[in-house]
Amino acid sequence: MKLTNRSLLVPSLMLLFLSVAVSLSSGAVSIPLKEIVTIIGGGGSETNRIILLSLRLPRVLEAAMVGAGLSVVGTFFQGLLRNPMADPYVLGVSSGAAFGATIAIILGLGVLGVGFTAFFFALLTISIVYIIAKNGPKVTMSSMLLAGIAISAFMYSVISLLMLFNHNELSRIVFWTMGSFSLTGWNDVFFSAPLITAGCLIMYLFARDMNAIITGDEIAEHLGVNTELVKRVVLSVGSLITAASVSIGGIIGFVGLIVPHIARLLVGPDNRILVPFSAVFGAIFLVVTDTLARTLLAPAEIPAGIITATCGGPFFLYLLVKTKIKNEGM
Amino acid sequence: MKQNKALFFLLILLLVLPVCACSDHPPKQNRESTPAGPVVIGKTVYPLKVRDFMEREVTIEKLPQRIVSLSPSTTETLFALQAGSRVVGVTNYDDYPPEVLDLPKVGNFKGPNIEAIVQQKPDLIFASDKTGKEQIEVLEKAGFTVVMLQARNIAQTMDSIRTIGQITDSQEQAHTIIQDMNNKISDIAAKTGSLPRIKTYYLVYASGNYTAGSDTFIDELITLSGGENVAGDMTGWVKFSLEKLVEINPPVIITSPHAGDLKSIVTLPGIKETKAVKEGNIHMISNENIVTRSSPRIVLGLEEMARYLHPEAFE
Repeated sequence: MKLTNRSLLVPSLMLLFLSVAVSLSSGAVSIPLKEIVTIIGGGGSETNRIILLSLRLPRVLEAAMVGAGLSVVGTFFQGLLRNPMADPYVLGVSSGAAFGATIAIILGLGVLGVGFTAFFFALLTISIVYIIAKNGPKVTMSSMLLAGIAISAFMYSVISLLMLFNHNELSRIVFWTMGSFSLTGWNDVFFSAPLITAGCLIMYLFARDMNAIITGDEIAEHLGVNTELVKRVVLSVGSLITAASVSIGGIIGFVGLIVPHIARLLVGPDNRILVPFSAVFGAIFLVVTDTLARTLLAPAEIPAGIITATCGGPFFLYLLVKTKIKNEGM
Repeated sequence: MKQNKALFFLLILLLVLPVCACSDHPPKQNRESTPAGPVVIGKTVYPLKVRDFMEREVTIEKLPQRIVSLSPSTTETLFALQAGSRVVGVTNYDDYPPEVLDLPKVGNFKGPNIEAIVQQKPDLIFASDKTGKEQIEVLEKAGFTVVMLQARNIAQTMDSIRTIGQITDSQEQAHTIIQDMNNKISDIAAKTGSLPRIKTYYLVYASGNYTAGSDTFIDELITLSGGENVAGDMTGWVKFSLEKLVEINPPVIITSPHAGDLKSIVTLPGIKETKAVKEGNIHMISNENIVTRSSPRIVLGLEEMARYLHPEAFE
């Protein structure tokens, strides 16, 4: 069984490569694959060079990066919280980021400022959740979850209040929360790529321990897993990845929730295999989504978050009905 | 939380719907709101019957003395018509002329506040298409006279001014204002008409690269000032592809303080590569209200726009 699972890896990677190639060539301005090769080789028309190298390439890379990051975090959070509903945003990171972005937009801090403030408040929020949920040396996941939900609710009501008082900025705030990669540049990639890659690798080191933790903390302890350490690392690194993703792309929903489930359906629950597949599928999913965002109404764009929710939701329901996922599959 | 999501959803709908729906309802040009026949300027005779922008006939019994205005553009028009002293209630978003800041507030973006309106004992309420049909119904059930105004282009703006002038017995002022507006428009047409059309991009928000398509004042102003709106074949407010912008490479970009800080806008990838930024032809309209509100000030927006598009015509 393991063998067939692993044999999916090559086709998956090929699919990722294909979707990146298609994504690079399509958009409001279509650039044939041949010209892409020429441009990368240093030739091509000036306009298409700018479009490909300073707009589209960073954007596609960032979408792949964020898709992979959110899916890996989602996989780990679902395991850690033993909850199929968990996603990277469940602990309140996204509400913190949205709060930060709202403040930055109201203060008129510019695009870079919005990203930075969102990142800062995302981390601040998760720290508050962690401190609240901490009980002595231990962190119970259920209090983490509850604290996260409560803080999210609070944050969103403050955001609504801020929007009420700053009606002029209301649409900008709403647009930000819908999520999009339309303004992603190389700066964003340089900032987030090392964070997300390193973060995912660190989390992957705990894939085997995670398998044990899913069956229960006590069993894991008996198997020699330092559950508290794993929890702490997964929570902090996962939150860092999520904060970086959200600060660049806005709140792109559904990726971190459904991609882990899809991957689980295809390759089973063993995290050592599941995590890399989640990463690849997440990258494919968001690259495709962003391509649709750029092309469906071109030259107008659709915020990517709307597409992930409208395509992801029904597709996930279809999978649910078709396979009748049982919670034990977690 | 649930309420929040509902609010978000509602907002998204509000923002997205006009974009989709507008193409089905092209703006009605030169809509007649006054009774048919030659336009006679004179004293208004009450009771006056007006057909408003919701195709309803509203009877105004006598000269309104206590007017509530539920839209900043109507307030601006009332003050321009020298009927400002009879305005007893405005919305939170009213800011022009400055004296309206001290007037009682009877509405915010959630709509009119019925209690606050009742307290002002108005004999006439001007609503706008943004007020909401349900809200207008509630106000009418409460026994108020409500006139609905709507203006999505300059012709409709002039119709509104005419209607408000008629209702408030300031037909002469309305006539003068409209004449001044028409003069300004033809003056600018005369200056820029023979010049080449300048491809122009209007940046509404830097975050997300939103622009204004057709069926907006901005599109109309660009056209009237001798420009060609890059997003003219799209409708309403749209998120525009930066890639397409680079390909079109417009020589002029116009924006407003609302879009963000000009210094950071010119560094954005995609925007910084345009001819407009490279040649220093990205300009900020002094106040976005003069390019978005259906008030007599819209011609000020027109003039600013024309000066940015064709500076040579104003030397």
